[in-house]
Amino acid sequence: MESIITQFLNGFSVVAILMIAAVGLAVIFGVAGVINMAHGEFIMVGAYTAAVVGQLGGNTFIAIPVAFLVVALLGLVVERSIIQWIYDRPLETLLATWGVGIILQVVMKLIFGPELYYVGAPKILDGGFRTIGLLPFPWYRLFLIVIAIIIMIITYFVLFRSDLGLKVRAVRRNRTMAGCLGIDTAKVDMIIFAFGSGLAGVAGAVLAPIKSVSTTMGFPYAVDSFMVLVLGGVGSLWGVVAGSGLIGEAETILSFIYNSVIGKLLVFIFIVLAIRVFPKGLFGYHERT
Amino acid sequence: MGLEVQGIDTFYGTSHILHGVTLSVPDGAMISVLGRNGVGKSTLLKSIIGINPPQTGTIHFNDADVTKEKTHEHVRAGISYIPQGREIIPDISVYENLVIAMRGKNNRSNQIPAFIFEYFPALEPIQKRKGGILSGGQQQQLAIARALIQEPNLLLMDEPTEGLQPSVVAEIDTIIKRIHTERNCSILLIEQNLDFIRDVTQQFAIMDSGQIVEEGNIEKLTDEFAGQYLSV
Repeated sequence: MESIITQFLNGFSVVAILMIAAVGLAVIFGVAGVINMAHGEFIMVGAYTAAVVGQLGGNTFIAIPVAFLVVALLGLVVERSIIQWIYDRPLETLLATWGVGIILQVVMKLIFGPELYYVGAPKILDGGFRTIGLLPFPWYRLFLIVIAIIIMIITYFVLFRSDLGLKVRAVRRNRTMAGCLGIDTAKVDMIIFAFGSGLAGVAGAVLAPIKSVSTTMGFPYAVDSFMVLVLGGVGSLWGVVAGSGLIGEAETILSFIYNSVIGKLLVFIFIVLAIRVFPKGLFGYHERT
Repeated sequence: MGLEVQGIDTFYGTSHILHGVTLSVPDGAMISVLGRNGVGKSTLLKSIIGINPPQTGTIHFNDADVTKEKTHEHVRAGISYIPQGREIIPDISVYENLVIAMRGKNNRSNQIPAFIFEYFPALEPIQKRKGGILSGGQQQQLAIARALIQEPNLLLMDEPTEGLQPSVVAEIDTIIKRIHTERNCSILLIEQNLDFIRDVTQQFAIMDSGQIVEEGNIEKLTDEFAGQYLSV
């Protein structure tokens, strides 16, 4: 029982990682309606940014805002140069962002080479502390949980407590009508695409110390992010929390009880059953007709 | 001054919907557009507001050419639009539906102007309620309030009485007349309800097959006259 509780606590850090990775995708997918297939590569660029910051003598605390700005700028360039012309064509946005992802992988490989980069955690976050179980819980994992909470709070305030958020929610629900109310929907799309991209950059920066940095590192995070969105409900911040929580905890505990393969398989089966019952995800919106 | 629509042709894909429509809404006028389903009435309003801009012809508002302007630029120029079906943003509150309309007109205030609740007292106690769970009558009131809060010079209304019970239609009738006289606002109104049109508007235009085929003062709009164009 004690081991299960320890795994439950460990699960929190997995939940945090899922939340950090998925929130940028959720913002872009939910608002702009773009299935950003380059999301994993945006995370990867954020991780490389952290690696560069590390080589210049900085640490994760400095890398977080730098990665946000770098990847937000990257998102802005992608949105202005490609996405803005194809918002109303979902298949084309999917293919275009997939292409962007491939280009980013190639460009980063040309710049940084094929070797792996290792980003150390800040000295202050070395080591761990004892929890109920016998294994120490790493400080950096606790830091990830705190970062996930901070990111969710900031995103909550941007989306639900600001003028931009109000415009974003209106555009998400009814783009044409939002325009008829005087909202410059193209500008909202541009800002939110950059913001969501920046969040992916932050994800890369904070995940770099727990994973070697390579041009393909983003793909598993992108897959996990899509699973979180499908389970939680597209475009819902609470869906990101619920989806991450359920997937993260279930995968951690089931992997402990059985093994990681069976754990992952059971989680997949659970997601399939869940979307059978909740086709819009757990937090999909229902309205009066 | 006012709205001048000059010879516009509008398409949905390859379907030619509006054929050289010309229409004038002078300052202070209240004009209704009627016609059978599918003759292009809603498309006319969508062309004016920029949702589906015309491919040929021009639209001038207060002497400025707004033909190719984007929808939000029309709003900022002083045209507000109440679509068919209301299109209330469902998962934000009544208050937020009103605030977002204010933001669309660059109004940074968080205070709903008092005149809105003078016109629509029923909205005041339900400000926190989500738009998506309002009744049809409440949604129509909110849709008009949302447009009115932008203090437009021209209000485009697409079937404001559609699907509403008679008592609510009577309320909307009174409100539209008050808005026209008290808010110094021109109104271009699409409607199927002849009694409503005759009570509210002073002039009419009848559309058929994407064209304006009749125009005149409302006295001319007898049942017999309208029947030539409205009967199926």
